[in-house]
Amino acid sequence: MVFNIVLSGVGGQGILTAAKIIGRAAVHEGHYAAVGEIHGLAQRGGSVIGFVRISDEEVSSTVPEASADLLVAFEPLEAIRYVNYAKKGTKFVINTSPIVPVSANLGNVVYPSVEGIREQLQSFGPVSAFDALEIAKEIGNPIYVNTIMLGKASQLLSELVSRDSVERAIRESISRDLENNMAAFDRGYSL
Amino acid sequence: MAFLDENGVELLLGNEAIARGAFEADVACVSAYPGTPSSEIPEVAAKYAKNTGVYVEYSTNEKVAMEVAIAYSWSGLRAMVTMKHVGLNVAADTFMSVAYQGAVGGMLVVSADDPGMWSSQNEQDNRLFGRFAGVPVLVPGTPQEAKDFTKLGFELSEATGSLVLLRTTTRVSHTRAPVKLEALGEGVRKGETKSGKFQSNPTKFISLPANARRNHPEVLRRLNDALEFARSRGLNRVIGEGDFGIITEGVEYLYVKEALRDLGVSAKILKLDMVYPLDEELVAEFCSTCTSVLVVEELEPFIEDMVKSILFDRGLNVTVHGKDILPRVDELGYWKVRNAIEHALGLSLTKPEVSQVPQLPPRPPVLCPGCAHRNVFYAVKKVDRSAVKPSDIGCYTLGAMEPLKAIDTCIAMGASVGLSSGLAKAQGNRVVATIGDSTFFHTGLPALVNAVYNKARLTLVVLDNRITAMTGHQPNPSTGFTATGEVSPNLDIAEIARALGADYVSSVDPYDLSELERALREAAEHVVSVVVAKQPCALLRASLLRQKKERIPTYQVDAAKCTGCRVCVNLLGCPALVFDREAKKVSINEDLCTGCSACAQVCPYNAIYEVLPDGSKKFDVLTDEVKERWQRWYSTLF
Repeated sequence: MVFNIVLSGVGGQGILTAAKIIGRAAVHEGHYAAVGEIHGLAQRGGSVIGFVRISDEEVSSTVPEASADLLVAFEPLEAIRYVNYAKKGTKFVINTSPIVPVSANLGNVVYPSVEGIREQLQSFGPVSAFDALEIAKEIGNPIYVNTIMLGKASQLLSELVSRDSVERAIRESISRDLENNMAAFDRGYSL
Repeated sequence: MAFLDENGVELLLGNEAIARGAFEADVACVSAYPGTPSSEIPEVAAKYAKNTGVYVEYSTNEKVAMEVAIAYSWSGLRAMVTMKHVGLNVAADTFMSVAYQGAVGGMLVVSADDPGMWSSQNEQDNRLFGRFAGVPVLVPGTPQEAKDFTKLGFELSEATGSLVLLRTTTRVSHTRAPVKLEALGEGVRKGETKSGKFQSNPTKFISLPANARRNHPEVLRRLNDALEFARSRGLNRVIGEGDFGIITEGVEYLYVKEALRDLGVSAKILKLDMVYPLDEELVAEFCSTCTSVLVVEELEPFIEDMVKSILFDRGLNVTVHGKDILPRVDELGYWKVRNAIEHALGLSLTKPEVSQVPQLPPRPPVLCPGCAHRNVFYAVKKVDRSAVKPSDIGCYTLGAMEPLKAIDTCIAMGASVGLSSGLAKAQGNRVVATIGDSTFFHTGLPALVNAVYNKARLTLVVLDNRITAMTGHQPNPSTGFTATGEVSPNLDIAEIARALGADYVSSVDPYDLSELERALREAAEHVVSVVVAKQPCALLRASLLRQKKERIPTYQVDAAKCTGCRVCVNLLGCPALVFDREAKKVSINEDLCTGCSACAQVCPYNAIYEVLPDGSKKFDVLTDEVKERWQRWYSTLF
């Protein structure tokens, strides 16, 4: 068994933290987990992709193309950018709040419609799309987008990794502001 | 924290596992120059340095780091030096000589290679460096192996007297996976700082030709001993059965395993842990029982060439596939390896149904909102559009991106300054180069001496953000403290430039665009000019201000005054600026803005204002009070 998760978004959104938490939770659950991180050229603002592979034996951390079981996108453009990892049946979790890249402010390059992105992804599998930024701001800070997305992803992973294991991994990984992060996780999980 | 636990399983990054392995091996010193994908090794070691008594230092460059580690080894202590693959080029002069001289205490050189060039200028294969130097090479494939091979490396080094090269790749260094924790080294557990003793041995330690002639055969003797060590410790395993053989290593082994499982075919695998020196007898024996052999390795046909030569010498007629069906560029992955196995077995190739990614607005790495490098590139272009503009390795290489496009070259660490010296002569024109603080100290210094000595018409802008930002905010000689947080001299780059004899030296605040322009114009009137642009990394500054609960100013656009001219967007390309095509207005994303005011300074309509705490708008953005605030950001950063 190998379950392939792709996480994508914009540098600074906490994608690698979320990947680490899922990986940790899977290990608590008794699985093998390999979490793949790519640390790029800049600290913030570039497209970021991370992988989590949950398995019963040692595997590499790179998800092969056309084999994601779950794709979690923290930003809509970064969902469609990694559609090469999707296959028939891939589940998607998408934050619909766009972060417009510099390239779409210059010249004539246009940011695509979020509804259009959603429709394209639906041709592969079920899409859970919601504005995680709005929910995060309700809780008090855009930073909670991370744990809200993690919450929804965990709900979809619940057959493989229990909610308890994810919550334990969050407590081990996030030291500051745990209460609000747990609230954000719960909001995401209940979506 | 679980990192120093002595049992259990932790999800560790490959790099963290290397640091952990060194702690278990009772290392005395970890020295490094940061570089992706190696940076987390010294970072983690530094974090636990005080509890473990391990000496951890960021050296000014990889060569110095190598020398510091060797000093520990020659004092009879275990030492590890870490760097990215191209760092070994910088350290090579010392590395190649010490390969003759050998280690005393166990000495491990960690090279983190970057197949696929995720964050590097080349994908050189440093296994070749091991062979070049005559140093054994261990290649881990998982975080668990990264830890195990680190420990083995120290033992191998002491058993043979050789340096040992631990070669990881991005996919090992940056994979997190379960790692079994074992006992820490005795000294590390007690937190004792180790001290050694250098014992004179002129034949070994003084590399005069007569001594080097004696030491060269020693290199070959040590390689022979390394083979014995590998055999006695069960390195290089044969797994599975069949006529079809696969010789592989590292992370490639995992791709092989997964492909064989999905294909439902069996093969006999020789998994090499020590790829140099190669155990010729083992390879010959393995191949003699196979009808054909596939060598699966990333980049160069390093193992393949040696395997072919072994078979030739022994007159063994076995078909060997490798780079004939696997690419020699880029990293490997599941599909490439699976297709190669299919090819070697004469099966039809499975092509995955990969969906085409539509044409999208690209989101390449970008300078952060509020990054002062952006201002320097803006000003450099404005002041002298025609000068050739070499730049260097760091976040500021992103000055190449749209819309800044303010650099012409980037080669390797510190190369901007040497290249500028030459370009000024070759072109007969002034050259304007940019370099970061850490890179300036790394290899910019001798090249600046060269420019002064040879009178090259050069303006060198040092982007002093007081930190090594791109690799994750490691301190450097401009920071004021060391890897482990000890206060240390904060070297003033302007003072250094003056002392080196630059004709014009000026320190400016790059947040003040007019001041920056003035300095650049003055600099153009002299032969060798150094302009030090002093403003801390915006990301680090914002996070430190947040910690101190200090206000971070933000700016907004007055929609009534904005004409939608896009001057701010086109000149600066700050990610916090968003252009609404329908309304034809620019707005500022308040979640991203870090309050540098550059957009307000370039706006031709004075439409951008600072939002004051009481909500009022301050359109006069360049006041003494604001300048003083920026000054404070630089001088009281930490």
